[in-house]
Amino acid sequence: MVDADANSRGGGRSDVTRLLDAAGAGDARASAELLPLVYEELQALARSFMAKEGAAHTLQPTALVHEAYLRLVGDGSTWDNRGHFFVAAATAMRRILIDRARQRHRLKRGGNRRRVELADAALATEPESEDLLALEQALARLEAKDPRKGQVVMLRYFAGLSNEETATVLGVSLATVKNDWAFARAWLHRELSADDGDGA
Amino acid sequence: MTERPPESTSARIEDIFLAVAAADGADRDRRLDELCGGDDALRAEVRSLLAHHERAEGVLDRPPLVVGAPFASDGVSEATLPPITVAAGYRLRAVLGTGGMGVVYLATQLSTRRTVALKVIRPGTASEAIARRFEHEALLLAKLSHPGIAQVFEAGEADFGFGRQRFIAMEYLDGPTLCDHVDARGLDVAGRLELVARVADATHHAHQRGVIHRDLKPANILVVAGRDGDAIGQPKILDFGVARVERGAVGLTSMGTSVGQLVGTLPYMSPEQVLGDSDDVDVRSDVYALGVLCFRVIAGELPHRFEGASIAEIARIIRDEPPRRISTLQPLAAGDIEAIVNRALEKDRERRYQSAGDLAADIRRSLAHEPIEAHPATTFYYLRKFVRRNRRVAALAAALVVVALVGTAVSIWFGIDATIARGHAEMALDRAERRTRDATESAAQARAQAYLASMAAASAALSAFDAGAAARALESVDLERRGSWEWRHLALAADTATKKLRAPMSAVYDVEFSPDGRFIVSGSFDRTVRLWDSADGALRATLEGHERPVWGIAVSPDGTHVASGSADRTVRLWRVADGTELKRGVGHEGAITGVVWSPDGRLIATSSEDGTVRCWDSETLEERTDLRARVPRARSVCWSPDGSTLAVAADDARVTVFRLGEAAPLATLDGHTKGVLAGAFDPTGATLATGGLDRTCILWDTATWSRRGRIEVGVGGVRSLAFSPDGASLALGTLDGQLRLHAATDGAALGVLLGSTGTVSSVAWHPNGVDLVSASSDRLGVMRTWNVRASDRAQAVGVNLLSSAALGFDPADGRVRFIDRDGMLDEIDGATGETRAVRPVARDRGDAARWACNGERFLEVADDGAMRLFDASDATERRWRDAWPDGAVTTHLAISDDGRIAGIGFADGSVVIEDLQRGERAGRAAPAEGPDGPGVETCVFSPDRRYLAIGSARGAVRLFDRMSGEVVPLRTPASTPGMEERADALAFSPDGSTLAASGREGTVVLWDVPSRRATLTLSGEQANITALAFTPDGSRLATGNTLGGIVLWDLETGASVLSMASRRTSCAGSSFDRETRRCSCFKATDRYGCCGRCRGRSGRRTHCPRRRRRPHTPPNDRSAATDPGAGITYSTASVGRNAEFGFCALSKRFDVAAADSSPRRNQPKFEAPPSSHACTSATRPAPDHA
Repeated sequence: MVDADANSRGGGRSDVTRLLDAAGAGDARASAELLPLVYEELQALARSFMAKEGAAHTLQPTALVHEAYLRLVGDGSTWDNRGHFFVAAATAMRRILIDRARQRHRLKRGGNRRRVELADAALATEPESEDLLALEQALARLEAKDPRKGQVVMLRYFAGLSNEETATVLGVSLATVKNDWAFARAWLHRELSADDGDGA
Repeated sequence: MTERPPESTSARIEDIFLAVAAADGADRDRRLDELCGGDDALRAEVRSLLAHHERAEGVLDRPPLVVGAPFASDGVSEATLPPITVAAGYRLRAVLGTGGMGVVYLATQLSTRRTVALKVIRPGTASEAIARRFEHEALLLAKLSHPGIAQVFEAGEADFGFGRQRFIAMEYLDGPTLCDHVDARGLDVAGRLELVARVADATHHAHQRGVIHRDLKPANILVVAGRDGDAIGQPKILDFGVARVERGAVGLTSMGTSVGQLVGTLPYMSPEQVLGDSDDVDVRSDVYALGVLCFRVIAGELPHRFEGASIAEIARIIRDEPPRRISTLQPLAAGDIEAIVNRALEKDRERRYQSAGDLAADIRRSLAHEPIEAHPATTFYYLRKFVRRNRRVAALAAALVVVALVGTAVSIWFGIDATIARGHAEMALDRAERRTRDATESAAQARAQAYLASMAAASAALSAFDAGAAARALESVDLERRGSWEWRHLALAADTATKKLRAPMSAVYDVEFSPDGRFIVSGSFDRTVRLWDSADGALRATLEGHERPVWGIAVSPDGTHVASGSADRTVRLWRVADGTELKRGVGHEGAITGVVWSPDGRLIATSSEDGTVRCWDSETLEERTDLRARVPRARSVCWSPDGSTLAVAADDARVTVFRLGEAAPLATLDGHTKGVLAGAFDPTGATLATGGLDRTCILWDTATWSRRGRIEVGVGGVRSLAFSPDGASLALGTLDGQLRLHAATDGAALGVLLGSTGTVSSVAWHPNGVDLVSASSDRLGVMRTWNVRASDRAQAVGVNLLSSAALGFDPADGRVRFIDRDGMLDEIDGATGETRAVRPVARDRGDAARWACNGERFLEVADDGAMRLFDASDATERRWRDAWPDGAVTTHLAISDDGRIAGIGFADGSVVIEDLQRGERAGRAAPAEGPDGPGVETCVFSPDRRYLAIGSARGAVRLFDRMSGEVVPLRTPASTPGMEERADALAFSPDGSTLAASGREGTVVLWDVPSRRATLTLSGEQANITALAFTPDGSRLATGNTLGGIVLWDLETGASVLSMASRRTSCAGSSFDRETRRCSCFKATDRYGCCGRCRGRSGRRTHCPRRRRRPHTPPNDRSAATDPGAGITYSTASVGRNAEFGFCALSKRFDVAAADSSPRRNQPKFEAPPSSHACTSATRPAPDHA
């Protein structure tokens, strides 16, 4: 059930659609311009959601990303240029999450924080900010090594896309996405545990 | 770190990894050896990757979550009582339990000595949404009244030492949980089934009122002793609804449920629930849970085995695996019971029982050995039933093992919100439409149900000032139902803007009035600046050029130019006259967040995300050196009226103040705890107001830069603010769509302007100080203008009413006229609520006279029969007659709608009809029980004057037929409480076919006049109903009760469709003293004016020097009248005859002729919030004898 309001709201839709069309036509500047727009929208969505719901609530990126898609692109548009949107959205989401993780990390180290209840489920289920920051570094290494795998991880993890959606967005086969994901996941996990060993 | 192979082999590593990973476990080693050959390094590499491949849980397997700041402990001790144990009329006695968001106390309600469970929401963790849900929940739960549901007594706010906390007082239940109970009692299967049926009954009751539980499980059901020593016991369902995030303005749904909570709940969740679509849950999900409950109670185990399963696994099992056969665990359950349980546990809810009532009915059929619905009926089956019914079933209760409960006994809050109710009703509607059997009837019922749920949802949303939710609830109503009085009433209440300016579907970030107020400038997401005519709301010009959304705009003090700042990092200058872009200011390295023009017009200041605040020459847009300050994450900037000082609000919770020409900040203001989004100087420059995400607005003294005051907004963060030109009021726009008005002096809340559905991103005052414009970033691109003075909507007006009958609506001008206790004829302007004294009319007789008014004429009859008739509009005397010769005592007076005849009731129970035109007696109705019978309490003419209905202090209602001259007593349906005692109020429907009478205990009876038959009884009101009025179309009846509540009833269904002055117990707040009275009024009452009540409760009664001449007069005089022309229901009351004042509530006027499905368009509208004006006028000065 889609909120009728969300469907009818399409502020900036034409903007984004125009950019998507241009990006689809190969305009690299257009796809670069897309990112701040999407970033802004995601930030605004997250902020407004938090403001409404308070800190006690958590959101999965997939909800935010799809919400942003509905708002900026709408449901009626063609699927052709969708890919650029989700790449932008995943990149934006990644930035947002990493920024927040850094903030939290700083807070923790700085001790500028009141006692946190351990039973707080939101914290218990959420990857620790340290994990996220370590993942960010590992992912950068993966991207250097194999950009496509980096994109698969970004779309799947940060935008919460399914394998099928990821395949559509990247224009590759489903099998490729699955393989990339399996390998990247194992590789990244190993990188992360290696980092654990380094640290201490 | 181990040595890794060179990159060149990485493709090979990947291939081998994938190939081996695809192989079966046993095969893997072999494949690995095969593929790696003798390359040990390669093998080690792949092997280590495989190890991580198989690792169950890694960072990547948990989706990242966007979280707010982690919430910290708020200091509420969980195990001990709070510092203050007596508040809001309750004494806390012990802690019963704690949950994620609150504490449950055992408490005593001091007024009733009743023991209650008091749920208190924690002040620290309660987000505005939770608080709102809490309130909605209380409202909806209060509608439920069933022996199987824990009763809610009251909701309100109290201070137990941690600031104001919301609470719900509920029935305190002391009993075992369902499973403990069946175990301890050793109930047999039949007893257990009956118990489950009782739970289903209660669930059904809730479903019928639009409430879905969503978390039925044994831990949520306590069993208390049943009536008459019934061994089975009475189950009581607790905790309606599980935590659920309401679809907010951002339209997101998310389950904010913690894992621990899920564990206790999961086995009872239906397949559609575990699929996670929280919208797609309806009453049949509760039916599923009842099926699991039944299985558990009968068999002692759950229908599925979940031992050691992960949450994902449990979800899969629920979705895919059939339940176990209950007969394998409990042989006695073979046959019917198994069929019933299986039907309730169907994966496809279409195949389940369609209601909890159906399930209960089938269980009872099985207990009575009648054929059940769940069975495929065969001849053999019916035969077997027949045989079994005639034989006693031995009750062989096996010792059932009851599995220890998972989950906690006291669960956390739950969110029954408007959306659920509406969603449920919509589901019911869909379902009903699909059904073939009784399709028409049940569809109609479901429609009615859906409609009622929508109305309740809209009302609840309005009570919480959530215009967006109210609008959504209203939009869910079928078009043909939108003409109803209550729909239009709520629709008007939900959007009170005077005008809407529509930017084409684009969020508007900033809005300003021109200095002369003639035009409005807006900056929006679609990169444009627009100019609007403020008189007619027409779009005058669209200024295009920015390459990114426009975040800030400013109008030059002379109104000739507009400056705009955008996310494209430029500031631009436009000429208003022709819309030309004149100059462009470049330099910012980040989006510009705010633009402001200096008061002298020479400079423009901008704040930007690049961490600087800059100054520009307003003619050349060259950057000036007057100010180049670094303020990280500046959100907005404002200029002091004298032009010397700039204040910058920033995301880091700080406000920095600069003096022009000085690089170092003049002051840094710490006080906000979260990001500051907006700031404004008052017109004198003495005060700076700042507001932000911490939901507060701080008033700073600009002489000392110290905090002068603080306004707690209590809802979403403050996004925008503006001082009125006179500096007296402060308009605040919040993130959740409220536009609030506060007094600038003390921060007192003056009201909420309802209408915006998204964040109020900007607000600005017209120089006239009356009009406001607000912009909303909800992407609908609607800006609204408001008029804070005009208010033709419901508001409280203090009136000093002489008697209930001494008022009426003038059909010609819609004014309300009444006689006050000083004998003055007063009139209330329906549009503004202003009260004006016209002229003194009453002789010095005070209570000695009876009054009647039809709107155009007032009729006064003194005790001795002396009569006067005069015009309502100007008090011109029309007629005068001397006293009765026999000195009979009049008790009541009625005048026909056309003013031609009057009915004068006497203490002996007779009524004399007077022809007012001819001045002669036109008939007489004899008393019912002879000369010593009860006096006439009230009487009313039918619209065609044929009938006079007479209510007496004792005995039923009589109908005097003037044509035949007979007086017929109307029979009251048996078992109607209170009607025999007294009829307090009477009303004929506009077509004269129906008569309504109210008795004690909130009962209203309606009779069909021609047949004299009672057709409908309305009950459910808690207080005595003392006023009745039909809507002009006769489809609704409004009742007013002694507690100040006005309820609207649908006469087709007998359901209450709208409760206008809610009877919520909010006035019982503990802090009801003189200082906070105004604030309490605002918070505790709704918009229809409980001020009178507040005042009454505060105990400040005044002594009435007048002799009480009518001992039978009810202590609460009130009356309701329907404006025949415009369909406005008007109600008034005086709180006790010896109280100095009363109140009246004016409801919105409708032009019936012009009414279409969108009445908002044509009508002037203003939400008259519980403004201080209303409160002040209601509490008009009274000698303080208290």
